[in-house]
Amino acid sequence: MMDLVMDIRNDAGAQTFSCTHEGVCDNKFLVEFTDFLSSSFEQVMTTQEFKVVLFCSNELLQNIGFYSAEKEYSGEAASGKGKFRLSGDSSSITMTSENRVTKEQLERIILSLDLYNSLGPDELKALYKQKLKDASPTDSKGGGIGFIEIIRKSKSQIVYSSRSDESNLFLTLKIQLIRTKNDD
Amino acid sequence: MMTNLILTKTKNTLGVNFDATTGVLDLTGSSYPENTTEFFKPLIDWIQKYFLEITGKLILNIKIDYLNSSSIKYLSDIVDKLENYNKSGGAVEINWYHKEDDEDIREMGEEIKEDVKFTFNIISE
Repeated sequence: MMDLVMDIRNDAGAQTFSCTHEGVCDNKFLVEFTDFLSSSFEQVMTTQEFKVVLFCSNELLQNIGFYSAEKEYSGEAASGKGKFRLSGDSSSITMTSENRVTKEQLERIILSLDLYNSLGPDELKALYKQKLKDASPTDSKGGGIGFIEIIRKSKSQIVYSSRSDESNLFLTLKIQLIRTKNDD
Repeated sequence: MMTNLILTKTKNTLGVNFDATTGVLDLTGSSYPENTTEFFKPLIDWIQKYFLEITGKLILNIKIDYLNSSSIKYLSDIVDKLENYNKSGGAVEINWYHKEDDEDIREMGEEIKEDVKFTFNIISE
């Protein structure tokens, strides 16, 4: 069982919230996270925001589970490890992931994100539909539409950054959902 | 004799009720399985077999709460198979249900509807 807690604070009438996870992102965790968010979202976000946050969060978590270069092995099964954080205030909701990547993964992801981030809504929709018709890339678990759908649903770019220590390379992805007054 | 395909809904896999006698197929729930291919391949195989052996009308009822990106891809593959069946003369209908306040699922249905020629009903519940 994971230690998922929604930390909700009210400072001078302004609500903030956050929850974090660090460790294995296998399917068991994904089910727990989905249950957790489904049962706690009403305290901090609207139903429409929840649908977008659930999609984007699960895509980030699945990416960590499938592609992180840091793995935890259980028998023959390997699950990726990384960090995930969901936070928000009255103006935005932010989802951030960080995990170890290889140099090749980093280059490939940056190439994709630079392209997707540069496209407008109609171009993204056309690319999304094209990728649905294409055969799935052999190295992809999601048919190559995960990032595209995140950008379309959140209506914001995926911000990326990378850092390295002595021997490892880390990729951070950030998605920010801008809240509107009408959603309240 | 073609058998029905029935899978019980779980937290991360769809409920499946494919009836070979009536040609009515139901998909319900959420889908973000660990291995999407493993889950969806039997569904696609069943539909292909239905087209070959039964060649009757097929009605697909979809009541979805949430799909991850790989499940969207497989659902699109199923719709493509239905579209091809329709083009070859087979009768197909999709009923796409969404909760009244679920814009996300409604929009997903509307986008799929744009690319098919057969009857595609989007139904608010």
